[in-house]
Amino acid sequence: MARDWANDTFESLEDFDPDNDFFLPLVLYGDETGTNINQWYPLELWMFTTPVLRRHARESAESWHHLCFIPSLDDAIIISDDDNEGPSPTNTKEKQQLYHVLMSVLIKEIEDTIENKPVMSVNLGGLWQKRRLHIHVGAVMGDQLSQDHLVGRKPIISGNAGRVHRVCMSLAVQASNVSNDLHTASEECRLVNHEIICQLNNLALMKLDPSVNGPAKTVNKALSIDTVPERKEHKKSVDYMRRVARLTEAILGKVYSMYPVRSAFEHVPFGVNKHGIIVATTEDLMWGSVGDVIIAGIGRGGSGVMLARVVLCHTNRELFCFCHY
Amino acid sequence: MLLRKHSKKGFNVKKAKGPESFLREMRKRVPTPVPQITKVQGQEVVHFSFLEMLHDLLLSTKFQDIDNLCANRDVSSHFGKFTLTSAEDYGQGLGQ
Repeated sequence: MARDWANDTFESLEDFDPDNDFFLPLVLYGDETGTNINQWYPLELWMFTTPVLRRHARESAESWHHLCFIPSLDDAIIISDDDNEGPSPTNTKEKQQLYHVLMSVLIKEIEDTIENKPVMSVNLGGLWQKRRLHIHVGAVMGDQLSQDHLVGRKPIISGNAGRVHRVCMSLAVQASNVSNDLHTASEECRLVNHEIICQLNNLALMKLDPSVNGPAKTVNKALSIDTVPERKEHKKSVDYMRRVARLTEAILGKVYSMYPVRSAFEHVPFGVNKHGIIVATTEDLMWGSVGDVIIAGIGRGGSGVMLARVVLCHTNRELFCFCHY
Repeated sequence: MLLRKHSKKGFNVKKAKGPESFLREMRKRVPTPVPQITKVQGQEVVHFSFLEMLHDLLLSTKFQDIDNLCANRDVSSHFGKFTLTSAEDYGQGLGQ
């Protein structure tokens, strides 16, 4: 857990009573795994623990508790609320959105619990006290693929014109530019702007069905369609909204290498981490770092390009302050 | 391991008529949060109550030993902000 994050979050807690409250950060972990010897019927298992436990204690299975199992979406068939079988999610964009819809079952419960600040008996080293819990999610761990799903990033691992990493704006093709001047190169390393992504997501996913609350319904209310010129104006407005949605989706896809996704983590409190899930998704543990030394492992996404970028990004503390496990 | 532990306490696995009766009997002996199934858009999500799991985590024996925790040793500030006092506090949970 990043010490600064924990300290700053602690300082920022509202109505924190030191005599009756307790700050409890959480760490979530998810990974897909097969359920039989042939790795068939995979499920994504989600667990959690708290960094209040020291590392050696966290390494015990007892310290990790189950949250949920997300089914594999490979053969998923979307069924709408009125029980009509819809089309199977054939593309990754639909699967990503479905994944977040399924995740929201879990996340909603966490959000509600966090908001209610439950009072629980807490045992710290044998001292039992009833405390009101101020819970914040510190980090979400998993492999690169799982993390990219959570953020909505396209699965670009081998490197091309897409962004090299979900938190970094640098292109993969420039990621190996480390040999000449590390500090100059590191200036290219820029954190993805979370607010812009949220705005783009909202625009790309705006509801264009006039029967539900959204811009299309507003246009229907504001513009009458009694005469031919009015109908033309109405059509222009609706077409404009469609173009905006398509354009923002293209910007998300081409510039940010992301799919438009209504994130399940939108309202989860991440403490002082204002970038939300984008920064909370820590690095694959195979890319652990101790002090200023990068310890690189070979795993999924373990290419030299990634290593170079991780070295670069390491100089930018804000980017990787959450990877220090 | 769990089965061996309860076999010593009198649980006879041979008396179980099937997987369901076995699980029912074990649940009586080992109370654990029960998973719930929620259907969303045709997909089944098996999930546990977060509140129950959190309660279970806080009751775990790991919290019994102060050496396992990033908590101040001084009892008066036990539940307060964790302050690093020794070299080994660095790199540990809230101290990293």
